Amino acid sequence: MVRSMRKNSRIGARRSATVATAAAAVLALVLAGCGGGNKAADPTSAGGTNGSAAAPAGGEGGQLVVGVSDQILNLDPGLAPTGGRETIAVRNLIFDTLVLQGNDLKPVARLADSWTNPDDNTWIFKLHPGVSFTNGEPFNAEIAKYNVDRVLDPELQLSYFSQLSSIVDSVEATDADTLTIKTKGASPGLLTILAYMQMVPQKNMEEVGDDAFNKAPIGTGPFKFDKRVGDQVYLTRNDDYWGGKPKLDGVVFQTIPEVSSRIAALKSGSIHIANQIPPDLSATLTGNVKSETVTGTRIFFLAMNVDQAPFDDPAVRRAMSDAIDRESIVENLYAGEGVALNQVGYPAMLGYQKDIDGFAFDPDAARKVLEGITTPVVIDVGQSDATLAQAVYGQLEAAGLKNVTVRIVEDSAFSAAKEGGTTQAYVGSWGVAEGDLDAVLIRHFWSGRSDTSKYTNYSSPEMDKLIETEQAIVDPAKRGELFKPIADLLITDVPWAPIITPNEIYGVSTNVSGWEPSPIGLFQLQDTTIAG
Amino acid sequence: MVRLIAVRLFHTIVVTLIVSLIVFALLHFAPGDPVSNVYGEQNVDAAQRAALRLKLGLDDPIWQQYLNFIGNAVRGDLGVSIFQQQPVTSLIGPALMATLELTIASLIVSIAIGLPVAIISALKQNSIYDRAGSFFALFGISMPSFWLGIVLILIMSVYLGVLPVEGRVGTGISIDNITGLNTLDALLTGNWEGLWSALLHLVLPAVTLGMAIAATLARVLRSSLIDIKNQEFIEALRARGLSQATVVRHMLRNAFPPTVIMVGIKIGSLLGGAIVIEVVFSWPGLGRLIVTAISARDYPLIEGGVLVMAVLFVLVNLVTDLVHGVLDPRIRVGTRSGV
Repeated sequence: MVRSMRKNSRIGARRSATVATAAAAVLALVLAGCGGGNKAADPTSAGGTNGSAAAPAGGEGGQLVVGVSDQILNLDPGLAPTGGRETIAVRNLIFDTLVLQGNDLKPVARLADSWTNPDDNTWIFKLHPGVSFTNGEPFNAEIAKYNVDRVLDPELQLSYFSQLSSIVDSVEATDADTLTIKTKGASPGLLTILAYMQMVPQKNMEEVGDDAFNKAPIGTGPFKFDKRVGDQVYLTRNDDYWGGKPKLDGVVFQTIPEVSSRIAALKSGSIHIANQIPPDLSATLTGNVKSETVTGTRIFFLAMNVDQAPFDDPAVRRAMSDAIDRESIVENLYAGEGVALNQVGYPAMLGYQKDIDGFAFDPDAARKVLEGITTPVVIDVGQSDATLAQAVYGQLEAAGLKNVTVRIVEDSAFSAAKEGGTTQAYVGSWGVAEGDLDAVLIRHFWSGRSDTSKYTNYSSPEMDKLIETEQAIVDPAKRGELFKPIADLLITDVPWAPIITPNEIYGVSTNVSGWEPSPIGLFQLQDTTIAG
Repeated sequence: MVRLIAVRLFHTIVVTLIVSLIVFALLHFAPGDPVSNVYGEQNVDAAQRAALRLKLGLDDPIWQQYLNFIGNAVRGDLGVSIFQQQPVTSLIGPALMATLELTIASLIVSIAIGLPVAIISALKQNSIYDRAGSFFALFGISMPSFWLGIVLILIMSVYLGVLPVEGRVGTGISIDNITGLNTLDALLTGNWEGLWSALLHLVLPAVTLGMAIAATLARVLRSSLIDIKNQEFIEALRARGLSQATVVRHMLRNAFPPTVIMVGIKIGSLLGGAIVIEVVFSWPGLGRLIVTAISARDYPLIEGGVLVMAVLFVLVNLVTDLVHGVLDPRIRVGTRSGV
């Protein structure tokens, strides 16, 4: 399950590997694809790109087929596991949320037309009047209250229970269109949770029960659940959608786990959109398909265990960070599709500091420290991010670190190891779809966190105080300033050496219009049309 | 024959118990935790995680968990998938039928290709046909099936656009579920559009899987046929003036036993081992289901899936032995050896 690997090649050498024979390239592609992190050469570039078969066309709007990498899990929004972004995307078409995260990651109105904070602990939401579920049940403040209460019910242990119950004090339907939520303290994170809380119809849920609802969910969203057939989920248009009738007749989500198959399906016209395209394959999306790119929200980093030698010395952690040439990784490993990170956070995130220098490539400074290290260093990595870890490994070795090994660990075992805080160092990633630095801080760098994960074992009273101060403010503008000392402290203490936030790349058929990729993997399809 | 079946069924039970015990132990001693996978990066506190562990019974002693599992399994209840929130049996059923359909289709492909190649190669030994047959067999055996799969996808789907890449039927086509085998169900309900779509979707994965079996089949059958061709009874048949077709029929009947054994073993491994092909062609089969379950540590689904596979493997071997016995009276129970 755990295999050790040493690799002498640097990332510069990786590219020359693409000049292999076609067969070897295809082989590498499939192997890499099965491992998840697909960084290999491309099979389709060899013979040109004249995909032929016409896309399946329906009536006026047609049926959009989306090929996704992951399986679609529970469609009842409350049931754990919540599922990956593919599952959330499907639910977000069936259901509506009170607020929605826009493509700039900031909350925008959906079922709630507007909201105000008379004080830091009170949120008043004005709901959109006259909305109903597709079974005819009306949506109003009472139903919204039912939904929040349902998640707060300790008996049910629904997906967002512990998050929501830790901040919400009471929920009230002030009148038919007004929902008031009182929080225990100032809770800047409330909107982000609400953006994932999809509203279900109370009467139907109580009539049919959880299991049946999960099989045939009913919401207020732009599309209605039709059926599941094997790996496919069928949605049909909600003609009466309160936000305007969608143009498409229907949408099908089909799971296609292997990326080269997803691209082949896209080129052959049997699907219109494919998600999760690795950067080195995006160049093959030409002809009747194109690639659409959007800045991602996942941070990749090298984490170092501050309790274990040699990383108990901040100077060593800093030297490790100095040894990483982030620009080179972005250019060579990700084909330029990503943002090199000079701090914990990506530019679109609240808390990102535009004006600090942060981490930078400084091989000379790194060498001075790293050459003196004799302790063996083992960098753990999950299967899907092995290539990134090998690139980092090459750079560390080039900066004079001896005795360093990359150990590729099966994904589940890797999660267990890093959550237990037993790894000496690991290359990993953290999704920050919330677009808020706080989402990283409270899970990795705050001693007061409510789960038992250890990760780097980092703990600092100064950091705790800064985090608690930032959490006590609701106004984003004021909070933004409070993140500055936090960013500075993370650069001084270096529990993480942040590396890259890769772009999200989608493959799209050229006859699809009115669609743009979302950084958090949602699909907004109200205005989407298929030509021909 | 009855005794053979009875003894083998007893073997099935023993094998199943041993397999389930091994799988159970391996799973629970391997690092990784379904609860941590359920919540992923979601911010869930320790109390809620503990509540889920309790609900899933993961805090019970391992022997008790195993006894619970076996106790329920005997009653036909394999538990509920942690990730898909559906009974394991209702997930395994359709996946098994998908795998079965693919297995049958690839067997048909392999026989359609392998049988004629073997006969021609054997009859025209050392001719250009034989050489071509050997080349084909070498190619079929040595090329990895996922490579062939990708190449076929590129040619047939991307460039020519004649065959679909993914899934079991096209989008928008629905086939009433009777047996779970799409082609058969479509045929039974007279759903010609569905039948056509299901057949088209079968072609690429079935050819990909079938090629490797066809190659092995051609090699094994060819060498048996050549052995038999030179035996005296064949000469006697020819001397009696029987037609070529009749002689070949007699040769085949005598050459089949080793081939049947080989094909039986292949079927056994196809039922669980076509994982890569199922991934490449997005075929919702048993192998893919279990692999996904393993990476998520979906204990009930893994245990149930492996159990079903083990039973199938033993049953396929039993059927192989029975067919072997029909074809070759010498090995029938009672005439020469025991089981």
